[in-house]
Amino acid sequence: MTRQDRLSPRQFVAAVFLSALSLLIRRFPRSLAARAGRGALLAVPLSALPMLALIAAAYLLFRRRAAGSGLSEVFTDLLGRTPGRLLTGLYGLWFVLYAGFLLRTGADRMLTAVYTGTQPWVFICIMAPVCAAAAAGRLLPLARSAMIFRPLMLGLILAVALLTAKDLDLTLLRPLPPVDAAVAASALEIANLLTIAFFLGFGADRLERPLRVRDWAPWLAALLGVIGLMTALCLGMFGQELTAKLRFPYFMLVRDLTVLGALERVEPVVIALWVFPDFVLISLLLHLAAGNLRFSLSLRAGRALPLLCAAAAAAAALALPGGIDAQRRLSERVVPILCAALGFGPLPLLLPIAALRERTQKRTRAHDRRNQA
Amino acid sequence: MKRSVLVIAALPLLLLNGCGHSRGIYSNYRNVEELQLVRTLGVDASGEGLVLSAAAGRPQNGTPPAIVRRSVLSVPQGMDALQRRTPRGQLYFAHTQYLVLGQAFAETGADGILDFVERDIRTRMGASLFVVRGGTAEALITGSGKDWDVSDVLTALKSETDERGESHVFDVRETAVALSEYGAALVYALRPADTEGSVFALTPGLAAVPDGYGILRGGALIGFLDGAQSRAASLMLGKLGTVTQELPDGAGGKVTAELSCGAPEITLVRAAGGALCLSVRAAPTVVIAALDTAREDVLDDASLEALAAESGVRLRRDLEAVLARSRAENADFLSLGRAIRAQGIDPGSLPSDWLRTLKVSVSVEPLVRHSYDMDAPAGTDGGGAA
Repeated sequence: MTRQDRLSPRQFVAAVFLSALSLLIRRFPRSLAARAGRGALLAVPLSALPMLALIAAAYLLFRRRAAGSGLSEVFTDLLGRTPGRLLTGLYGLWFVLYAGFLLRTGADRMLTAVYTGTQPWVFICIMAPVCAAAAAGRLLPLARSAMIFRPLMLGLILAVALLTAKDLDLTLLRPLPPVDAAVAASALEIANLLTIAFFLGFGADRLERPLRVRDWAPWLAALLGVIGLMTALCLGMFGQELTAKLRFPYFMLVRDLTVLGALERVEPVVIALWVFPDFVLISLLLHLAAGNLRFSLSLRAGRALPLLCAAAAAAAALALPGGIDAQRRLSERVVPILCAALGFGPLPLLLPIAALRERTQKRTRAHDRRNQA
Repeated sequence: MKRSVLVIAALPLLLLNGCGHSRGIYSNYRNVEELQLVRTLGVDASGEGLVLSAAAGRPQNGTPPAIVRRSVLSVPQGMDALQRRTPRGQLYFAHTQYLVLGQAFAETGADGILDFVERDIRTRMGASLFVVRGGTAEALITGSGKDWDVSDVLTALKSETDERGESHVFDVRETAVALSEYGAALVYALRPADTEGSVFALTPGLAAVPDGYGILRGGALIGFLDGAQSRAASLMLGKLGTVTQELPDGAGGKVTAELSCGAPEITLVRAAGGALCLSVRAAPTVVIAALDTAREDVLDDASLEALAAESGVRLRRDLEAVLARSRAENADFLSLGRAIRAQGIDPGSLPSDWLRTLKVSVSVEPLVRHSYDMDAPAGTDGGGAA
């Protein structure tokens, strides 16, 4: 970390928002419709509850910490030096694998939706070095690029919504089912997106000041709005069964879009623009992976490690199975479960320790004051 | 270091190897001048496989459009096979406007081709869907005259249908959604018609005329709706525009009326005993357009009321007939489930035989006007003094 590599809360939130956009297009709204049907629309606002719980947990973890504390520091502080470093290193390895998975699924999205005649390695070999170059630098330019891409992506999503609105059949959204187990599971699936905020917490040591509610609350609402809008558009256009059947229903929706009766088949442009969130997320993960491994192994700062991480991620991407079934299993089961385990899993361990530590510190301070008195 | 990172990052640019055919991302680059943009794709049954026919658009230089056909085992295989058989250029399916199914193919099940169009990126779900009644798509596609092709015929047919509003050309998405949500759908039916003797400036060939709707249930064609029933189906679906209706004047003459109607009001009520009862209420506007009658009092209030009553009786009969057909076939091709949903009731929560056991009550309340009603206020259907 250099002195100049300081992020404003707005930049940090923009990076989280864009990363979440990259993740959500991989499965949403297909998986939501497959699980909860029209209830997916209820799952979106309902997911705010577990999301807020996760944010509250993050607040508790970072409460009363000096600026310059990231998750690595929290781990070592609460768990001890060696376990903290080991856990940080584990997350570093996970970030490399996760980046590899994202490289591969991004390439497969291109193959499925636009470039059917080519091979995934082409996209992996283009994306990995570009992300490596970004990851080898500072975090600030990545966060700045997220600030630039965010309005672009939001504008794109709104434009698609406006252009498809006339063809929507709102009766396909009705009636909404009662909130049941499927809706609750979908809400948790949406909330799982926010584990990326937990992962990016390893970069929180670069924050100029702690996040305040007004920094993140509007963007959490915007993220839920985007998911709700995409879900409503796909359900209103295709119905719940067809939405669940299509691999990328949102891109299929764009496929039949006609702009002012003159421009057709604009889906390659829309799909190509989704490379920006992918770029930001993969670069962030590689950057943080290198930082975590460096912290864990007490290595010197340098650019070799991010490049090595990128090479490892590219190798993982190339080694991942290419079959649709295997990818679906990875995409819908293995990776979400790992994300949930690593995003939510440490909290039940860390929060009681943090609470105990705080109570002990309070007692010590009170004891000191009494002694001084 | 910075320079070396830049060099590494720039290396993959070598993969962007220009416009040639390669394994890079430009492998699907196509030179526009060499493309044959497919406008119409036809699918027919053939033994254990199918016959795929395609008609490209007419090139700028006036040469006839490329028309190709091939017997294949599956649609994806067929599209590749057509590609190899193209006489010039490269077939490009991304802008396919019309998907035409032969009757025999549709009877064996059209869900496979619909599923393909939903998933495959080469085609699109906005393509209009037709079924050839009593014929094949191949005959229609290959049988056009030298100066025109099947895509011209289908464009004219769709344009006329949109304007006249007697029926509706559904696209693949609408059909797929109706099939997945309600289990049945309507598809525009056309019949091949030889233009020999009826087209003079152009070379004769096989054209097409509208012929009601085909009924798809679970993806397979199970029958057709004709004439008045297809009109009533359009009305039920809210797709009916202005159509003509001939009414007797009661004295051997006839009155020609133009009938227009918005979507009917459909409500589901539970009668005593729990039976489901569907109430359909239509309020068409009947405008007297032409008179072929000796009666001088035909535009009197009493006569107009009688005409309105007759128009209503006919329309009600047609609506009841098409609803009865839907119940008899146990196929919700009128998307009654949609109307039920609009009331906040999930059709899935109804008994599985809800359509068969449904009681139906239809009421039609026509409003008659005539086009030279000088007493009507300006700006109304009756015209009048400004």
